[in-house]
Amino acid sequence: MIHSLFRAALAAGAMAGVLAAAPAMAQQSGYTDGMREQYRDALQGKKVGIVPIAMSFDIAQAYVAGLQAQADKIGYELVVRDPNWSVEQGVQAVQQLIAEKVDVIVAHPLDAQAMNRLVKKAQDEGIYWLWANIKGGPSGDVFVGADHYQVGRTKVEIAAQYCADREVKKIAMVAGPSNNQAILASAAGIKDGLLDHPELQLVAEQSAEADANKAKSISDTVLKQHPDLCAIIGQWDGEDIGIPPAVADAGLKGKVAVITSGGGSHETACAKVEDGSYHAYISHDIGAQVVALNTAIVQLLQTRPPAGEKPFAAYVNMRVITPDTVAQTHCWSVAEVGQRVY
Amino acid sequence: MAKSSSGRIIDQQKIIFALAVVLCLVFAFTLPGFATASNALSLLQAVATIGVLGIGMAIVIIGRGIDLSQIAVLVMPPAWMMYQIQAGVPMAEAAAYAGLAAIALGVLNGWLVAYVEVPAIFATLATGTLMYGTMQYLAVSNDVIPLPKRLEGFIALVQGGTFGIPNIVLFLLLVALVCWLFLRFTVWGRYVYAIGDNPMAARATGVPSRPILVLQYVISALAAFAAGVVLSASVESVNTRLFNSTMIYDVILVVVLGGVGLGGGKGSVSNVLVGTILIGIMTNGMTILNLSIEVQSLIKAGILLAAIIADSMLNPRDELTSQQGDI
Repeated sequence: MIHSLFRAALAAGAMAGVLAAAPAMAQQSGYTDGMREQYRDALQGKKVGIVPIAMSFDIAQAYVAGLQAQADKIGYELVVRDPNWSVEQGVQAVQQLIAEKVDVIVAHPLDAQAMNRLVKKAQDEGIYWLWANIKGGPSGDVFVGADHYQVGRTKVEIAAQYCADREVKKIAMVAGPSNNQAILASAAGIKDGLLDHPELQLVAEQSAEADANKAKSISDTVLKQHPDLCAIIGQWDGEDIGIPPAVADAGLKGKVAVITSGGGSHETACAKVEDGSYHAYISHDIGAQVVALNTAIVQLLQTRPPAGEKPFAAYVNMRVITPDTVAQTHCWSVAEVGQRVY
Repeated sequence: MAKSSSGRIIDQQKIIFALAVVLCLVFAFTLPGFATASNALSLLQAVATIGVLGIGMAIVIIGRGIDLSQIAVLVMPPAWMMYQIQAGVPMAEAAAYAGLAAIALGVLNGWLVAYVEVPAIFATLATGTLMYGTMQYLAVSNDVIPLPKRLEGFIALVQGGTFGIPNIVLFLLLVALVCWLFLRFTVWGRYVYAIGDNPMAARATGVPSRPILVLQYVISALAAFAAGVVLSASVESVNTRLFNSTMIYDVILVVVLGGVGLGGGKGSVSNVLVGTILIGIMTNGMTILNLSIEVQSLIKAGILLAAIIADSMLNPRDELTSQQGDI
């Protein structure tokens, strides 16, 4: 009884299949533009691995959301290995990806120098190496990110403009952790920028070691010493969020420009410029970076140059968010990047 | 309290206090802008969090323990609290849940040390990571959390001042007063000294050692939680990455520097305050001098080393009560 029912069901299913397929076949136009198949075949079933600094902050979440969205659309696999702020775990994760013979590795490293050795190892296996926003010694195949050196120079320009009308042009710098290549590059930019602006007097340069509370107490002390300070340049929004409360404490809100930079999500950037905490926020525009990373993946896997042969860089445009431009600026959110609004 | 200065004319607290005074005078004469009331207050403000953590830590250390899970409690329950408030949970309710999580960790620490008899240094190292990992997995998906707009009133309170004194400094003084009263005038407080001085003798004379040990760790966790909430309002964000920092060493530094003996049974809240103020003066002076972070670390390390050497010379180990393997 059950057996015959099963047979009947199978037969009905087959019939339905034929009936459904018939009109579909009739509609196939056989269209091709000469690229669609190549695009699909080059990418489908491939494997892209990403090792971010940690999955617990917005920049890494946006990378993964944006890369995942394209992987889902085209039909390749994205493997995420989260080292959770550990340099060693990050190195291990990359080694594991190399052993698994993925096609592309996207590295967003806490300490890029620790990855240097692995770039060549991956490329020897024919794996393409993409640096996301933070670049180590070897160029890999692609660097996508902000031009951190230029970001540093621009910060000095903004400070110089802000301080132009002041009699005393004193500025202070709150430095970030020195093992981060992006921060080292922007520090070099700041230094060179200051050579162009000898009128700016750097009265304090202190490291907050990525701690907002340290950034606050450094700013507190410096502002007590120099109440005529006109700008504080920070290097990373995560710690610089401690500077505006110190400025407000000193009763100098609106008189001291706080200039910082970072990923540029809505919460960390636009909202903080809107409420007057920052005079200028230079966004690394992770939304645009995701587009560039996705394009690089598509390009490399279709053109298949030998890994490491012709490295190229895609520096995203700097977005300088100030009270004047914030209304026209679009800051990203992880959800938007994931829904391919970018 | 009485122990640290019992019978000695020069003890560590006095040395450190004298050092603080000397440094203060040197800076006052050499650094323009150091000796102003506003700089003094900003100096205290900068070390208030470390001071509160240090007071919690001191109670544990006096009871012959150590609490390395403090930084996890400093960042994770407040982070969870901000997530809840962001999601619309009433503020008091969110604070209560987060506070209970902190207390739970204190109880777990105390239970491991007192009942399972795991050395405090290992127990709290593990529970700190447990707290961080669990909260990160379950509730706190981001590690920098801006404070919700609804907390504006609280932020204004923490960043404000009363009669010219920053409220955050008053918070430190309040915690110091409560803990001083506890250690000095309550029976349980005296038991903490008894346990730290000689755990065997304390137990033999009927001191409820185990519940008191649990209490110490709960107080330490509560101090860390309160410090965390106040700190987050002060910088308008919670940064859970502090868990990976060396902040716990700064806490131990102010405690040991002030003269709370790592062997237990010695020291008081005033020691921590003196240690905290010295570190505050040093950090403030070095910032004004614009010394690089490397030089600052070097100077701090040198002073910690000197304090530890002074500790072992001034508080020699008691062969009768000390055990090898104590911290």
